[in-house]
Amino acid sequence: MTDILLRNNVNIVGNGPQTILFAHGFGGDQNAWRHLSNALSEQYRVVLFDFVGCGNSDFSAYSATKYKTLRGYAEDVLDICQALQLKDAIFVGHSVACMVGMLAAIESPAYFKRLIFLGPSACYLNDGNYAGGINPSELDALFEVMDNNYQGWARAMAPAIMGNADRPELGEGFANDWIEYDPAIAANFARATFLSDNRPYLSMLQVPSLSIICEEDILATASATQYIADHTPGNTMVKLNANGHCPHLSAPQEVIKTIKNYLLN
Amino acid sequence: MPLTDFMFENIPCGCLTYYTDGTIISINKTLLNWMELGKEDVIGKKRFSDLLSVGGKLYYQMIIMPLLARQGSVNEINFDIAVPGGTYVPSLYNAVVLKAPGDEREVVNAVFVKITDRKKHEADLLRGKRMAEEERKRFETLCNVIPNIIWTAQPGGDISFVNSRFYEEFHVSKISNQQVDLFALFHPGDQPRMRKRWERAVLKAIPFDGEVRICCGENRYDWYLLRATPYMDEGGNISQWFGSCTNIHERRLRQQKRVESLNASLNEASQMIDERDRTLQEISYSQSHVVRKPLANILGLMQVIDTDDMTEPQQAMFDMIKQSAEELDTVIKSMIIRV
Repeated sequence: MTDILLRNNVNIVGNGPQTILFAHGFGGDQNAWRHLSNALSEQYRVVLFDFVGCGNSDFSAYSATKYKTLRGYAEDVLDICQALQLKDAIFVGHSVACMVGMLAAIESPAYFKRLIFLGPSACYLNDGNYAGGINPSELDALFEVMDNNYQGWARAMAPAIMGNADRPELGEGFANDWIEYDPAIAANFARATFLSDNRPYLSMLQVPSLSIICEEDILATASATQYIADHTPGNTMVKLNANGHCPHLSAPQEVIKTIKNYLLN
Repeated sequence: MPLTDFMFENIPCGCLTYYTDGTIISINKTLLNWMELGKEDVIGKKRFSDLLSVGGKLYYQMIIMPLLARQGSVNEINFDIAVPGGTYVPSLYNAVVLKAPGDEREVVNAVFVKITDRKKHEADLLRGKRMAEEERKRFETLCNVIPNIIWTAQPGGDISFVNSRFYEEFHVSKISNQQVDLFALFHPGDQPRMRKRWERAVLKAIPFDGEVRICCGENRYDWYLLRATPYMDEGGNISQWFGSCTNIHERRLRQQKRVESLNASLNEASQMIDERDRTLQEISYSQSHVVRKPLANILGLMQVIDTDDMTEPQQAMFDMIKQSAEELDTVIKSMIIRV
């Protein structure tokens, strides 16, 4: 159990009979939930973690084969649920983590009472009439931008992850290690994210779910979120008065209010 | 227009201010000129990510925007700005998150520096890096199909790469980024000898080879032929070692068996010779006794016959016979003694 909690850098804050498990999306770590966990830990037991290969997880546990698809990330979620012996937890996922949570909940529904999807998409690539939002060529463009900016990103990210923003020299060595190690992991996660097509699984979900969506979210298009609503049993959709892909960072109050409302009903 | 405003509008970099939701509130002339747009086309109408290439839009939404929210600044991010004609101006983006006096909302203050030429150079470097990476992968693939153990080492001998067969054959679990210690796998009895030879090879920059027992399973050591060749740089320094381990256990066992069987047959032959020797001894011993018995009779009888009343010629012949008999006796005695 300790191994899993260390591996995924699991942190638990707050108290309450109800547990909320937060899963971050591609490019981030558990820190992305800071506004939400601060607000929700008063009433709930909040479980935060980093997927293996992100944040402060144990990088030596990373396996390119396991994390080649979202199933590997779903295993992480189930491992954590098992280690903490969760039952009827609320799962909140952002971006790609929504589908990770969905895959986990299909496999072991007993762990989950409800799923909350923040900016979900079952498939990011356009496919016939389905507008996932991204063409394959645009995906190449994204990979190129990621490649071009890897160093800048890692340098900015490292002090934050080290938790020593006031002592950047500590992050410096870490950034160097990371730059050596991480581009392949980021690229693998990006591929797992953008090449996955989870539309066939939506109908298998038995746990009720809520999609929280924004205006002008190029990663969770209106078409993609509508597809989820149309094909997922027990899915409801709430549109926020916010735009972009990260409302938990840009409009946290709106998100907190929506989550609280959903959990009260 | 005040001078400072004029300078700001025409400063040789793009300046942009937008709310964290992307809504643009200020943009300078330089940036507008790149995009061939007017202020009225942009302010309050476009969001920041509208200015970017598709890859940039996705990257901003997923990576940079969360990073700005967390860190309050980012530096040296390469974004391509969309310009008329479907092309892009490559630029470097630096940004800070601020709160303007009298406004509760956070704004992002950003500058863009054009890097068209530098970007070309960077693209070349990136291509070179990718090619090198590709070559490395090819090398590793090739190494993994060779039915032998292949490894490379740093000039000083630290192992830098081993092929998959290494892990399979030596039952070592593959832990990324963890140094493989080949010497530690050697049979303790072979370590000092191998270390000495290896140090000599490193010092003299000469090829190395040796036969050594290597651990390949619990308490199991197989014989291997260990070979390494130094790869020299232009300055004559070792830049890398290329090495291999070939299992010669069977051969070594066969060799050992051959030596053993040769020893066995030599033993057999010497035993046979000893045996014959003994037989010969026995024969000569018994024969000498057989021969000596009639001689003893002759010598005894001669003592009986020896009287004074022999004629002179009889006495001379008797003496000759006695001398011959005694001579024969001496010969036979010496034969017995020798045997």
